[in-house]
This record gives sequence, C-alpha cells and structure tokens, in this order.
Amino acid sequence: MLRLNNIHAFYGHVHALRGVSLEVPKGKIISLLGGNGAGKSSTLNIISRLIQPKEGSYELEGTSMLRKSAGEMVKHGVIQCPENRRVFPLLTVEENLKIGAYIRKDKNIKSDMEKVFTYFPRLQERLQQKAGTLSGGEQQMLAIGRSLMGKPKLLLLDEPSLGIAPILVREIFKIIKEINDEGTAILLVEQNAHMAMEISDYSYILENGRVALEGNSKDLKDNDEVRKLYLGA
Amino acid sequence: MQIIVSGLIFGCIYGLAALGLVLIYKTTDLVNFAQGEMAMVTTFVSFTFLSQFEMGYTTSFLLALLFAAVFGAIVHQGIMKRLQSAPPLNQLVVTLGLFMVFNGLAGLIWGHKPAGYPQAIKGDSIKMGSVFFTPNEIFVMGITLTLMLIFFVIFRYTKVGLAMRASAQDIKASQLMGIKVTNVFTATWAVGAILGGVAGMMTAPITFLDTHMMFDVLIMAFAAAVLGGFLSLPGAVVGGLIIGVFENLIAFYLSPELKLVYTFLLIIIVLYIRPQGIFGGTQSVKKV
Repeated sequence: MLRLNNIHAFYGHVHALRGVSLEVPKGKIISLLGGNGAGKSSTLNIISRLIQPKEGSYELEGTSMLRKSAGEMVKHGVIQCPENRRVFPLLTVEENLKIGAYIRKDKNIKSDMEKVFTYFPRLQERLQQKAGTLSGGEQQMLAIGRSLMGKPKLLLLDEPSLGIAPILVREIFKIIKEINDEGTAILLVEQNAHMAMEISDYSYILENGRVALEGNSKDLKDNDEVRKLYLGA
Repeated sequence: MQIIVSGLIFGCIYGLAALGLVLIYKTTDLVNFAQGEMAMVTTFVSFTFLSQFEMGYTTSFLLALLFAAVFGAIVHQGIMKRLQSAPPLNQLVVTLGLFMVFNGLAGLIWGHKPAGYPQAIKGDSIKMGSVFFTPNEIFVMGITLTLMLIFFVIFRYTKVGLAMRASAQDIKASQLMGIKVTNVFTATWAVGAILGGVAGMMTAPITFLDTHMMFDVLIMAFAAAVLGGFLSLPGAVVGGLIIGVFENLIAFYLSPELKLVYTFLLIIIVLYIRPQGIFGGTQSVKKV
C-alpha cells in the first residue's frame, strides 16, 4: 500500500533521515521503533507531507506522493495522529471530532462519530467539555477518535502510549488492534517496543535515521540484540 | 443621556476596528498595527468611487469592502505569510512598517488636504424619549451589531469558523486535519480588513477624510481590544462601547483635551484589577 524507498531528509543542517526504506501492506500493523531522535517522527512527517525529502521515493498504491500537499494526503486516507496528542485544547470534544472530518463532504459524519463512541465511550460523556480539560489518556482517545473521523485507510500513530497511565495504555492498544481488525492499516511509532511488537505484524527499528533492523515482530521479539537494547531483558 | 448615546456611536466604530484586530490576533497570533491605515486607504478608495466615478453610496461602500478584502488578502499572501514563523517582534515591526508605508502612499496618491465625506444615510434627527438620533447613527449601530453577530455565528457555528479556531490553536495539528492553514489566515486578513474598512467609512463623516483620520481610532481600538481581553469578539465590541461612552463623558464634563489621558487611566485601572481584561480567560494571561 505505502512504500518509502531510500528517504533522506534534513532539519536545517541536521541529516535526520539517512536512507529510510519501509513498506506498509494493506490491513497490517507495522511498528516503527527506536530511541529518541532516531527519526521515527520525521518518517511520519515525510509520509504526511509536512516535510519534503531531499532524496528518495514515496509511493501510495503505486503512485508517487512527492508532489502532494498535506491536505491531499488526508484526502487519500493517510491520517496522522501526532505525538503528544495535540488535540485542540479550546475546542470541545465534539468540535475536535468534527474537525477530524474537515475534508469530508459525505453525510455519514454523524454515524462515524457514533462509531468513535463505541471505541471510546468516555468521549461521549465529555462531549461538550473543552478538550484541554481532559486527562492525558482521554486526550489520547480523543486524538485517535479525531483521526478516525477522517476515515483513514492508513492511520499513522505517533507514540500513543506517551505519558499515559499503564492501564489506559493497555486499553488504547486493544482498541488500536480493533481498529486494525476492521481493515485500517496502521503504522505505529512507539518507544514502548514491548507493547508495539505485541500487536504488530512487522517491525522496523530505526537508529540514527537508518533502519537498523527489521523483521516479523514475533521473530524480532526473540532476537537477543533486540531484547537487550529495546526490551530491557 | 444624549452624551452617552453619542459615545455609543463612537464606541461602535472603535468596536468594529477592535473586532478586526482581535480576529487577526486570535487566528494568526499577530497584532496588526497597519489595521488603521489599511482602513484609511479603503476609505479613500470608496471616496474615489464616490467623487471621481460618481457612483452611489451603496455601490461605493460595497466596492470598497471588496477592495478591502483583496487588499487584506494581498498583504497576507504577499508579505505576512513569509513571516509566519518569524519571531513575533519581527512580525510586529513589519506591521508598524506597513503602517508608515500605507500612510505615506495614501498621502502621495490622495494628498494631505482633508476632504468632507458623506454620511451613509442623510436625514433629520429622530427623537426617542429625550434623546436625538440621526439616521446615520442608527445605521452605524445597526451595522456594528449585525457584523458582530455575523462573525460570532461564523466563528462559533460554521466549518470555516471551526477551521479558524483550530488554526489559531495548533498549526501542525490543523494541517494534519487537512486544513489549508495559510488560506485560513489569508481569509482572516481579508475579513479583518473589511471590518477596518467599515470602521473607516463610518469615521470619515465625523472626522473628515484625511490620511491621519484613523490614528485615534486605532489607538482606541487597541484599548478596546485590550479591555475586552484581546481574544474575545464580543469583548472587543463591549470594550469599544465602554471606551466610546467614557471618552464622551470625560470630554463633556471634564475637558476634551484630556479625554485620551483619562481613557487610558481607565484602562490602566481596569487592567490592574483584571490583568486579563474584562472578557479575557486565564489563557491570555499565560500568553504574556
């Protein structure tokens, strides 16, 4: 479905990505792991077309995306749920969900909102509350719900476990799996490698802007090096 | 009573101008010092339509607003867009620079001699109770309330308004929703310029049309915006009304020369008691 090949990107003079290649097949969960500054978020921002690569190719369903705008990516169903949630704090929960459907013109927005409530019933209870007043976990639910309102074919999740109570992390990962079961492909960026490998089909590990290791999540989990470096075992 | 009512008329004009300032600030996080001069230029353009092309008031008024929208959009697309990620102080200095440039250019094009400018509606005063209203005053109040209501509804209940509020809060997240943030900002500048233009065309019949006509109005509009909290649209209008009335009372009972001094004394006192302004939430305080 999505394919990056030999992507190089710079932030100012920093060579953030040094030849990243990865693939997200239809309907799968792929995890993108690695430490701080390894290039995980940069990779997502390349995919969302927020940054332009210096080199490399980027295809979605066989067509190059390198001339598309960020807005067009959303229309193509490639939707990013950004790091630190970034819900709109002064908008209500309902408004946050509505803006997730900003690019849509169809009439099913209401029923899709109902669908989001089946994943995250808490959001319905807090519908008229300002998003800024929600707890971290609730904001993460809202951020994912907001992304779902754009009808993603590929959902890019940037660190959904960041700063959230462990019990909620488990709940959120369960729902990520459910969302995937209904056909949405997911590219999951995580520092919590253990949880990510648990639910993903295939994993890439980034180091210094390069793919250092890749493989089926099951196999990687048993790899000694991975266990030592990323799973703390 | 008559003094209060006359004050309200000025207050409406300040409120309109403040509405434009607040709208741009709320959405793009930028204080536009050139607002008053853009309004002055718009008013001159309407005057050109009126006197040179001998068009009717309504046509000139509407064409001038169209001009204002394009003018605002060009200033944003051509200049401010490039400075979007510049430090706020640099952006501020640029709007101050635009203030000077527009003022100078207007002087070159239209000269420095004050000219009379017609009222929107002529006619004899109407008496309501013990107060006299001219039809023009009623028009000014009507248009202020209408515009305020329209923008309140757009901001609160429409998709464009939602996109404006979202862009104001988080540019990256808005882009990830598919919002074309730059276009939203351009539209905001266009609308801000329209509001300023209306204020300008309401001011000109009172003060005469000249290149300095908006100086006082801009200062009062700033005061009104600050009083209202600088983030609240109704706050801007209420702030404008308070300042208009207060200024008129001072001018009548104390001294016309000192009205600016007393007005700002009032603002200092209000902000001393409520640093966030009358309508400002806690958020505006944190921003400072």
